Amino acid sequence: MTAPPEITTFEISPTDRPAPPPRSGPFFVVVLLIGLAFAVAGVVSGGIAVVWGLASGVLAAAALRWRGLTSLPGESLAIVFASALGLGLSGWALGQRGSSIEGTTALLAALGWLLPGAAIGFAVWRNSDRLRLTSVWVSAVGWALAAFFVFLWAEGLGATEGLSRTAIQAGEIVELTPTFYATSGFFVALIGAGVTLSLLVGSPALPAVAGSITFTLFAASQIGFSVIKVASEADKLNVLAQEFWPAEWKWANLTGQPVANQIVEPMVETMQIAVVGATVGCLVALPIAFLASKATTFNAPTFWGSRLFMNVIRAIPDLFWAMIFVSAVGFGSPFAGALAMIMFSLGIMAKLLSETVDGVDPGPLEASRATGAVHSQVVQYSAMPQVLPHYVAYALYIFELNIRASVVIGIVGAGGIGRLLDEQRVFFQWDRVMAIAIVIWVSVIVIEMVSVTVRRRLV
Amino acid sequence: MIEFRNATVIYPGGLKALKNVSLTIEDGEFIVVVGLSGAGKSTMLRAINGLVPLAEGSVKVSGREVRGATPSDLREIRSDIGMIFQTFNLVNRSTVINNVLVGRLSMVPRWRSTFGLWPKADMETALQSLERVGIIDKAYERASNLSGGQQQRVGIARALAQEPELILADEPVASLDPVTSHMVMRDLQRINRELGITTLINLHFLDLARDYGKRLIGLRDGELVFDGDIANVDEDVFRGIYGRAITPEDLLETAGP
Repeated sequence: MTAPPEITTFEISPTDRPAPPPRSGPFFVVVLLIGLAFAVAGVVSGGIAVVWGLASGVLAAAALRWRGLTSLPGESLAIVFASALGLGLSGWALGQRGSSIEGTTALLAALGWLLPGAAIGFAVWRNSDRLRLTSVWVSAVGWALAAFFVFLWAEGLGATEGLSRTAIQAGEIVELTPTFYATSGFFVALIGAGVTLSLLVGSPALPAVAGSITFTLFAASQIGFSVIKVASEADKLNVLAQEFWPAEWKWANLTGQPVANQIVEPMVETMQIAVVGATVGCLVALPIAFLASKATTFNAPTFWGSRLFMNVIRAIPDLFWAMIFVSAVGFGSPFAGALAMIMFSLGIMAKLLSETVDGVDPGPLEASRATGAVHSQVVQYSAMPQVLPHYVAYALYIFELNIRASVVIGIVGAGGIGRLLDEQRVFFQWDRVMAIAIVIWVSVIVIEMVSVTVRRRLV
Repeated sequence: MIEFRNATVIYPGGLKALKNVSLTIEDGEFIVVVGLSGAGKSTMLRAINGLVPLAEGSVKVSGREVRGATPSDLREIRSDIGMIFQTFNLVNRSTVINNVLVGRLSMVPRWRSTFGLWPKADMETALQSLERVGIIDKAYERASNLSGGQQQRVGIARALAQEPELILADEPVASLDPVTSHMVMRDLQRINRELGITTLINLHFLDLARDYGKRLIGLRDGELVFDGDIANVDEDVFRGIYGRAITPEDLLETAGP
C-alpha cells in the first residue's frame, strides 16, 4: 500500500572521516622524557637549584618541541625561564628548612613548581584545540601538588643523606645534593607532566601510571626492598633446605609416649573449623547480601545498615577475629577458630553476593511485583534463582579460602594444624615443619581441585 | 472499569511522561495503544497497576483508587491485573511452572510460598493457564530452553494464573518475529474473547493494531491525541499521532527483520 523505501547510498571518502581520539600510549614517552629531563638536570646541576631549573627547562622544552607539542621558540624560552625561576625559588625554600623537611617548607618549595607547571601547561594549551584555558591552572596545580608530596616524603630520597640521626636532631643543615635534585625532580616531573598531558588525552591514565610508579619506588625504598639483597642471600637457602629435608613424619608427642603420626588429627580439626565457618558464615550472609543490594533491599535504613555491618565485619582481618575469639573462648580452642572463620566467611560472602544481586535482571522482579506479591516473595522467586548458582560457587570458594586461613589463625591459638606448625617452628624442628607443610599443601590442592571442578559445572 | 482523570506522571528529573490524560475503559474491551517510543505508552500502562506513581489526577481500577493506595491496597489491586512484557521478564533459570506460579504468589499464605508448598488448587490454576496457551508439555523445562514465542506464552500464562480482570501487555511482540507475533496476538485476542478479560496492549506496528484492535488510543508526547474506533484511523489521524506520514517501518509486514 506504500511505496518501497528509497535506497540511501553513503559516500566513501577518506577525507570526511572523524579524527580518532588521542591515545595515552605515545604521550607516555613524552612524560617519561620530561621526568628524565629533570633527573639528568639534577645530576649535572652540582647542587645549585637555578642551574637545575635551567637545564631541566632546556631538556623538557626540547622533548616537547620534538613531539610537536610546542611550536614557537617563545614557548620554549618561557618554559626554560619559568623552570629556572621556579626551581630556584623551590631550592631557596628548601634551603631555609630546619633539620628535616616540614610541611610548611614543603608547601613553600612546592609553590615554585607552579611556574614550570603553568609554562608547560600554557605552551601545550596554545598548541591544542582540545584544551581550555583552565587546563593551564590544572597543570600548574598538578605540578605543585606533586612537588608538595614528594618533598614531604623526601626523607627516603637522600635529602638528609650523610647526616646521622643525632646530627639531624642537633639541627645541622646540609646542602641539598644533586642526588636529591635528580630523584625528586624525576618524580615531580613525572606526575606533573602526566597531569598536563592527560588533559590533552582526556583520560587519567598518564598521571595514574606515573603516580603508581612513584609510590611503588617510594614504598620500596622505605621498606628496604632490594633485589640485590635477595640474590646475594640465595646461598642461605641451601643451608635451610638441608634442615628441612628429609621430612620427619612421626615423633613422640611427649617423652615416654609412643612415636606416632601427630599431623593428621590437627589437619582434620582444621578442616572441621573450615567447614563449620564456611557453612554458618555463608548462611548468615544470605539475608544480609539481599538487604545490602539496591535491587532487593527494603528501604534506605536496611540498605545502609546492612552495608555498614558488612563493611565493619570485612574491615577486621581474619587473624584479628581469631585473636579476639581466642581471648574470649580460650587458647588453643578450635571453637575460637570456627567463630573467627564464621566472621571471615560472612564478610566475603555478603560482599560477593550483594554485588552479584546488584547485577540481576530487574525484569523478573518487576513482573512479580506487578502480580501483587510482597517484597520477600519478589526476592525469593525472582532474584534468588538468578544468583543461586553463584551463591553455591562462592560458598565452595570460601571453603577453600577457609582451609588456608584456618591454618594461619591456628598460629595465634585458634586450634587446628596451625597451632602444631607453630609449636614445631618455635623449637626449630624444621624437618617436622616440612612434613606438616606437605600435609597442608596436599590437602589444599585436593580440596581446590574438587571445588574448581564442581564450580565449573555450576555457573 | 478503568478511569483516568487528568492523570499526570512526572519522572524524577522532571520529565512529564503523561500529561492530563482522561479516558474510560469498559470491562471486556480490547484496546490497542500506539505512539512513538517515548510517547508515554509504557508509562500509561504502569500507572494502572501503580508501578509508576501519579503526580496529579487519578486512576481508578474497578472503583479502587491507585494513587495514594497503601502498600497492601496496591498489592490487592495488582493481584487482579496481569502484566505481559516486551522482554518476557521470566526467571531464566527457573522452570516454566515456577515462573507461572509467580502469578499465584499474592493468593497463597506467605509460609506456603516460602517453602514452595503450593495448594493443589493453585497448582491446578497454574497448569490450566499453561494449557490455555498450549505449552503444557514444557511445564517442567527451564524457561531459558524455550524459544522467544514460547517464552512470551509463559509470560501470558503467568498473567492468566492471576485469574485477572485486566491484562496489560507492554509491547508484547516487539522482540518476536512476524509469524510468532501474529500467534501471540491471536492468543491475546482469544483470551479476551473467551474469558472476557479487559486487555490493553501497547503496540509499535500499525497493521498489527488494525488486525487485532477495535478501539485505538494514540499518545504523543504524553498527551492523548486519539481515542476511537480503529476503523476511523486514516492518514490524518496517523499524522496526528506520529507527526509524519506512514513509512514501511511502521508496518510489521514491510519492516526490516
